[in-house]
Amino acid sequence: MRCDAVSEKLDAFRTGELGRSELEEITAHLASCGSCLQELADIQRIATRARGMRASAPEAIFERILMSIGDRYAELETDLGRMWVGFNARGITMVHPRAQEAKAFEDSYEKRIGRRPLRSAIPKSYARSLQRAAAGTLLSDTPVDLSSLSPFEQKVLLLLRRIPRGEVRPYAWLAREAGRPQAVRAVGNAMARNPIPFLLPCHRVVPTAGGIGNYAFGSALKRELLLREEAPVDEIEQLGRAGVRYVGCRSTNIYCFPTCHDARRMRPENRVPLRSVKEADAAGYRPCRHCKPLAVAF
Amino acid sequence: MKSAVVVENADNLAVAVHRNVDGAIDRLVELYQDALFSYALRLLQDRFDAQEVAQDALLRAIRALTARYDEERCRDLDLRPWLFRITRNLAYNWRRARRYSAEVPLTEANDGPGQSFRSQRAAERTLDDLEQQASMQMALDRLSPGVRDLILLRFMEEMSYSEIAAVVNSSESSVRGKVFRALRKLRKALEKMEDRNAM
Repeated sequence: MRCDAVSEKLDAFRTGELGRSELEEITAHLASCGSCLQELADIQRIATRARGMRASAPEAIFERILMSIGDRYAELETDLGRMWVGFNARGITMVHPRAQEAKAFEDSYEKRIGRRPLRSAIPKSYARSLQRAAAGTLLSDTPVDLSSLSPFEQKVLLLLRRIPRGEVRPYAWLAREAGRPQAVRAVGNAMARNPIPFLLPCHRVVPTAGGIGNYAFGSALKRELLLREEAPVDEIEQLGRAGVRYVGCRSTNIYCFPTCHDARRMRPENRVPLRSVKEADAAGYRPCRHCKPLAVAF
Repeated sequence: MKSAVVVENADNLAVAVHRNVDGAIDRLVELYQDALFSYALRLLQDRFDAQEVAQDALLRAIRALTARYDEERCRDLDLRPWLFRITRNLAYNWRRARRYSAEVPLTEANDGPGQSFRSQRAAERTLDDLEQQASMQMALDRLSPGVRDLILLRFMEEMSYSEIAAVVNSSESSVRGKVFRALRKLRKALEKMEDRNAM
């Protein structure tokens, strides 16, 4: 083989992209040709330098690509078992206990949210919030995306975050706070259809008549969640059976929902059980400004 | 080494992304983000543009694999050349757009050889390395854009000739010939620069 023929094939020789006979010919040629050997060394040097031109993508690129994909979902292990979690760049969109298969979750997601989610890793902050919510220790708000819901549903669901951990409020209170006191039934439906249970605490909403009430995933789970949040579940049930809806305070003349943190600070000797707003009015009590029991006066 | 992993997983990865297998998208992005970014960076000489292009390329790829392509097409896909082809097309479009836009003239590109090594890893490099880098970049700059592209694929990305042919939609022998002639120019240019440095 002559030098120019070898030269043309040196780079393919370098990477082993040649057939066997060519390989042998070039090996033989190189054994006796200093200039071709030098050329090969030069090519190798260029290759090394070119490899040095590789750069690392900016840190942000990974998350930005994943976030621009649109809706995604992942499986998450929590204290309440495994869950499916849907999310996008705006926040968490949907949470469901992992009773269903991946495909079934994708289907229900598409039906509910209107887009099909892709499976991918969940951002750490979302995972942490949900795990805390399941453990009953969530204190801060996490971004959620409710844009596929009606304005009323969005309003009601976001109001849930005003019910503090460890406390409960009646459906009627929520309806009133949402500006539609008559829409108690609609509020109930919104709770039942809450796409982000645990995180948007619909488990903190109870029947106006008392007790713990129903839950989309069974009242046992609702009870469990409230207990984890250190809500006085037994007391709520007892008061409900006794028809007590509010608690008044003799020393301050204020009445509260029984789980309001102000109510729980009252001295036992000052606590007055109240069955209705009328009864509270008659006794000269004013509604608490924190838990706003007046909302249920109608 | 990264490229070895790529080759191992490539045939299944496209199908895995198509089937929406847990973590497949994340793996795709993880495996290729650096390579596509490097390639775009050397084509465009601008970190911002390169990030946009690499990002867009991966997004388009994911959308195609998950929504547009059927499973058979995903299985037959040569993932790496395909991803580079998408990146290359986007980078060329980007460059064309930039050329016609008065706001961002090419001469103001913010990633000349002197500025491109801000990463931590780069800080550990010796001055000698940096000099070599700079001379390599300068030598590359003397090549025509089309040929420079081939050199990047061949030597920075270490692609085989058949892979490069798939990326640039050309024949293997044509790619070989172009690389051969480019190598000759590169060697001469580097030699000249080194002689000057030695004096």
